[in-house]
Amino acid sequence: MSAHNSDESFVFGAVFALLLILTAVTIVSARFGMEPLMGVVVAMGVASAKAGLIGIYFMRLRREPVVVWCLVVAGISAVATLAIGILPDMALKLQ
Amino acid sequence: MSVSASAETLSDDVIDPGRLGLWLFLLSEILLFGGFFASYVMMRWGSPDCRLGTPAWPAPDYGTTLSMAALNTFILITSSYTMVRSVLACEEGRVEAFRRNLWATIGLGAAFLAVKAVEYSLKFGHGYYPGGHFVVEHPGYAIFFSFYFVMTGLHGVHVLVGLIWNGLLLRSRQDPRSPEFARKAEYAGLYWHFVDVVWVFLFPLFYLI
Repeated sequence: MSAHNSDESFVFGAVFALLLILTAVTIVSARFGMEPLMGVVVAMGVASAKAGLIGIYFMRLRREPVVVWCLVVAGISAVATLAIGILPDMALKLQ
Repeated sequence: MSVSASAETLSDDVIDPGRLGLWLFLLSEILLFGGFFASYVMMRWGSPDCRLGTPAWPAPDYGTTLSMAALNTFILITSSYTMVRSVLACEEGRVEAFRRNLWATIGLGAAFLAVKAVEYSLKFGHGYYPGGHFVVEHPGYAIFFSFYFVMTGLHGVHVLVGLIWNGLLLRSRQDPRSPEFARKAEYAGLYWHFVDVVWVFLFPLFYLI
């Protein structure tokens, strides 16, 4: 096995461990009885971090050319637009 | 610069059409699940019965529900790890390691579906579905259970497709040491990891907040 692939194998192992730790963090933090809004922010923040790790390392986005990054950013932007679009409705219901 | 050198440089810059096509497909999947996620969040936020921020599941069954979902999260993350190890082994020409890790991925994917099937049967037993006796008494939960079954069911179908895809890869008669086969393994890996990413968001949204 080349040194490059050995390094990559180690990185995959480290990412796997980190994903398990983040899963434990999100379960434990949900049991703390945080404010609902803070609970949502923490859970979605941890989920985004986990998705980022899987995308960048397991799906090898770090090696992909700009065109693939553009596709990913387009998808995330579309979903973010949907989420941001309903924020006013949520904010009004908070009051 | 020699012709071969310039061709090599060009091939480094040009993306493999198969991989580009797969990423375009994944983009359509992001939009599909993204629409569901946005609708679900809006429904939960406005719901007086199962408002977003605290688990929506009725208290008596919540411990079992969370345990099964956490187990499935562990299973799917581990399967993503075995999948990436399988693809790496394939690229290095280590056929035995490739097959072993791919079998592990298939086994873990099947275990995920088995746990999900048990979870569904428990939900039906408790009447946690639109039209069930629990929902008749608590009509505010009907839309939550609808979203739950549609989104986790759609994700389950994706897991099933991934299992079939990985199974076809295992049964392929193509030389596993060839670059073409390594590309096919990479495509299967990309899809499988995407299925994992979807679950990473489903888990907190349906079971934790």
